[in-house]
Amino acid sequence: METATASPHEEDIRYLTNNAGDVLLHSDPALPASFDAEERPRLQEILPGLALMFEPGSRTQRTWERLESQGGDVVVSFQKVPFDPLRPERFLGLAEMVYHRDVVGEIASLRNRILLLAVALILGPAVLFSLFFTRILVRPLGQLTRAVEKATAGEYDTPLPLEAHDEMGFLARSFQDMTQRVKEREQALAQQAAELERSNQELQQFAYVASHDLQEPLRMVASYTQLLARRYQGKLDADADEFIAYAVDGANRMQRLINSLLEFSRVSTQGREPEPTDSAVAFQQAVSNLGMAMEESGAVVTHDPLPTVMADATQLTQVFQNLIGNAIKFHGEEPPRVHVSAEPKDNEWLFSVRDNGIGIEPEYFDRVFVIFQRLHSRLEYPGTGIGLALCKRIVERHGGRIWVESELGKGTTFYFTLPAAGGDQP
Amino acid sequence: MEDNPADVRLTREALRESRVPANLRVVVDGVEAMEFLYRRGRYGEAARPDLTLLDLNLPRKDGREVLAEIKSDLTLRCIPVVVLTTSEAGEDVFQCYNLHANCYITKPIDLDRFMATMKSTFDFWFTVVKLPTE
Repeated sequence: METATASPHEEDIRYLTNNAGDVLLHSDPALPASFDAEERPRLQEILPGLALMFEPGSRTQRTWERLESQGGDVVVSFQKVPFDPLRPERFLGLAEMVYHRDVVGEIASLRNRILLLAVALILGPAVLFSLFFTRILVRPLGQLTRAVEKATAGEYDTPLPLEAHDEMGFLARSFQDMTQRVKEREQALAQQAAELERSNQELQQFAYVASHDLQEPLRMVASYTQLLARRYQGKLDADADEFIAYAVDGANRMQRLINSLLEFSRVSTQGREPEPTDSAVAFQQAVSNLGMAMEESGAVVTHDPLPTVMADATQLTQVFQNLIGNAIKFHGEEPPRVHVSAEPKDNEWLFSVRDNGIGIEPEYFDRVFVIFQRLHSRLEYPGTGIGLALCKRIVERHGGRIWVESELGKGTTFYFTLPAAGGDQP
Repeated sequence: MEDNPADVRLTREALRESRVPANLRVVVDGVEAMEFLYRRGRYGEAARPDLTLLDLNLPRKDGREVLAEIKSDLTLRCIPVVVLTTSEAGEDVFQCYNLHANCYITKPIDLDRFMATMKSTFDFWFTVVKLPTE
């Protein structure tokens, strides 16, 4: 289908006729340039719609019409040019014809140009405005957003629209202040972490030194004071006996402390990777290790069904042994009763070790877990103060928590959590 | 074979308490230990020991080297070697038995237990066990 805009624009076609319609001159490429008298075509034959103009007596001087022609619709303007004032019926006909499609094309292209102009007029300011908007608002906002995103990822050097004088600038500057502070805090934290790591290594080093270098001379001090006591007890005066007794006691205590410290540091150095472990087996092992203490105190230790958890079996036994051992050691007037149970909580198991012992005052709930912290004199209750610190270290190494609830004179319950074993989801 | 005189004395006391009739000869480093066993230098007149107590941490020549040398020498390897040390490391225990130590004892820290351990060791090697004669 031919469309107006697609058709080539042709020159206007003009005709000059006499008053009969005979074509005298023309620029129609469809017609021969000149005619023999007999073959001269009449305009009304080419454009039948103009026939009325050539009717005798037609008074219409000019017309502007859309007509059909062989080449398609045309728009014709026709004008009579009289040349004899006395005989107005004699005239020269001047016809100008354009194909409609060319006009439409022209109009379409004009329309397009107008549209383009309109678009330019309308869009121009919009583009300018949006450029302005981008510059003032969007770009700084984008920068800020990127900066926030990077900051969440721990990168604080993203450029910011700091120079802006509006709220955006204010926001950017506040954000920069904030990231600066976060950065400083992070650096401080990293430094602390490094120091912690170092001091941790120093503790391990100390534990090594304690085991290999301190033990040996200490063994000598302890052995010889013991030998002194053994050989000369009662053979010197009472003062000497007392002094020797203190020396023996001190050396023995120091040995126990060093051994405790070693045991404490071995939680991380000699701990095995947690694996699915039947806590009931660990519990039984702990109870059997406590056999003598249980017999002496007449303790009754009971338990609910115990689950399989992710743990180092040896360390889990240590935890049970320390908690149950404490429950037996710190018993009240009644024979100790200890009950161990476990209940599922999310992806972990919450264990509890409940006793009917002397209880702990709430203000000491945290302190009992600190290494070498004791609430009683060694005369009342023996021990170095390592047991609960050891439990805490073990439980935390397994990704669990440990805490205590207690009522003075009524009893104490220790709680700790351990991750559930994969196949034994609670 | 022990470089710490205090330890030597404790062993001597333990020997005395165990009432086993044995002479204790002391060498204070690994090199001397080998000279003693080979009866070289100033140990030319030394008697061949019935039993050796070997500390692992010796100066000059380490206790493990001494053990390896004893057990690879045709004339010395039938002398029982009791490794007597403070080390509890599983690695040391394994290595010593691998070098054919006759037994491995970790010295108990507590005096009473030390005395008891030494007494039973002496009892075992000098009264229960039949030792080779030259």
